[in-house]
Amino acid sequence: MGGAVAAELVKIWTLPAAAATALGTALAAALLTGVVAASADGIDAVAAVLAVVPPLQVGPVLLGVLIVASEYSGTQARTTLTAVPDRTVALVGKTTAFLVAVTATSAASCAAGLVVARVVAGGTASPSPVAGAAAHLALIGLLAFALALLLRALVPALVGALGTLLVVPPMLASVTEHARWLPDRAGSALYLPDSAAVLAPGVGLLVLVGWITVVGGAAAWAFLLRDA
Amino acid sequence: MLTIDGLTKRRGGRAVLSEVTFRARPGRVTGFLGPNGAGKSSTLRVLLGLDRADAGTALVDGRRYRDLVAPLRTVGSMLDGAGAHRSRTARNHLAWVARSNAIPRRRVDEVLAQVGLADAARTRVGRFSLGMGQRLGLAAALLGDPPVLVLDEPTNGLDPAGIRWIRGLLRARADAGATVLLSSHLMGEVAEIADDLVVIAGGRVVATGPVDEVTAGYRTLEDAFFGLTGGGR
Repeated sequence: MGGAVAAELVKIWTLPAAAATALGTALAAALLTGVVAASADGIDAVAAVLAVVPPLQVGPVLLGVLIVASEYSGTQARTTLTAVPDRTVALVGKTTAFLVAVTATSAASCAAGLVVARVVAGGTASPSPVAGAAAHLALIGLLAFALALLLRALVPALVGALGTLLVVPPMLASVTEHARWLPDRAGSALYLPDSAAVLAPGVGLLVLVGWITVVGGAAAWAFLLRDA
Repeated sequence: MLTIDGLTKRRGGRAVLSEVTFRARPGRVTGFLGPNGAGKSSTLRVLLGLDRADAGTALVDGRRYRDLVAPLRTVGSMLDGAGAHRSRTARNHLAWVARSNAIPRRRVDEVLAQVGLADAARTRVGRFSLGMGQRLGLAAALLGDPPVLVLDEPTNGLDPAGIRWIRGLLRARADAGATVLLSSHLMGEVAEIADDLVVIAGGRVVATGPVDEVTAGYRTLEDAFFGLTGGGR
């Protein structure tokens, strides 16, 4: 198992698009937070970081989809499964390595945003919601990773994930309060605990984990059973 | 020893493999011969645990490939192409493959040199020619210094010098006691190197045995191929 995880970490690190996405997400976080902090008068640094979380979701989504799709865009998946033929070990190894990468990316991005916002706007609010934002970003990435594993293709996975996270929520929210059950709205309870439109933090986390369980369960079932 | 027994697989209602049975023995090169679509790749994919068979078994020294620990140290395999992502360098590709099976890192540069890709180690796979991709696939197969080699159309895209080189390599491996199974749709090419032949057509094995036995009674190797596989008209 250790070998499978280590190999998957090497794979992520040496996939230029994945490394660029991780770095790009952290840079975008710093830049966007800096812009928000500079343009809104009297905004607290923490509030500035939380304001840029919705667009930042693109980063972990891209990371998850790119890492899975790179297996299936050519014949690499075959090499992966001949090297680690036990599908359960292969799946756990890949998922563990991805969790390491997406958690590091999300945490570094939120931290970079907070540092820049503190420099630009100052502020004394407790930074704990920022940790919630990082957890939200990592979980959203995991959802995209699972969707890509189910679909085994870059474009449908990217369209599906970004559509569900960025396009549908604002549209649906204007029509019905049930938009709060969508993954990004539910997850936002992790970092926007006082917002009336969302669920309680615990419930929001459960709903997002529920989404990941359903999509991830289907993806795992397909990965374990179908021909490579 | 590779032991394929009664392998049967249906895809979309059509039988792609019907009761495929044969052996590939240590110390010998076994040529797995058949026209395109005859079931060669399907057999090898089941053998390597990539696809499931509906019935039958494919065993490596008595064990299923999926049950092997560090399988690359037992079986080196190459199916069509390099099996690498285009944006990764050759060395980085082999590095993760080595890591997955606890193969020493020094083997990466050793096999790159062995297949003639030492100068292309830092080149991205997407910039490789077809022949270089084949060499990289072969490097991955040799990485764990395995006693069994399973190669699907290994000479695809290789120039004559490359074909000659791979023949020498496989011959040397078999002479040292390795089990070598290689598929091809070219009778002349396989007959040059193989000790044994397994001929497959329409998902069924139509002939097995030493090369001279299988081809006995035919005027040319080409006649033998078309006679056995029922094609050519």
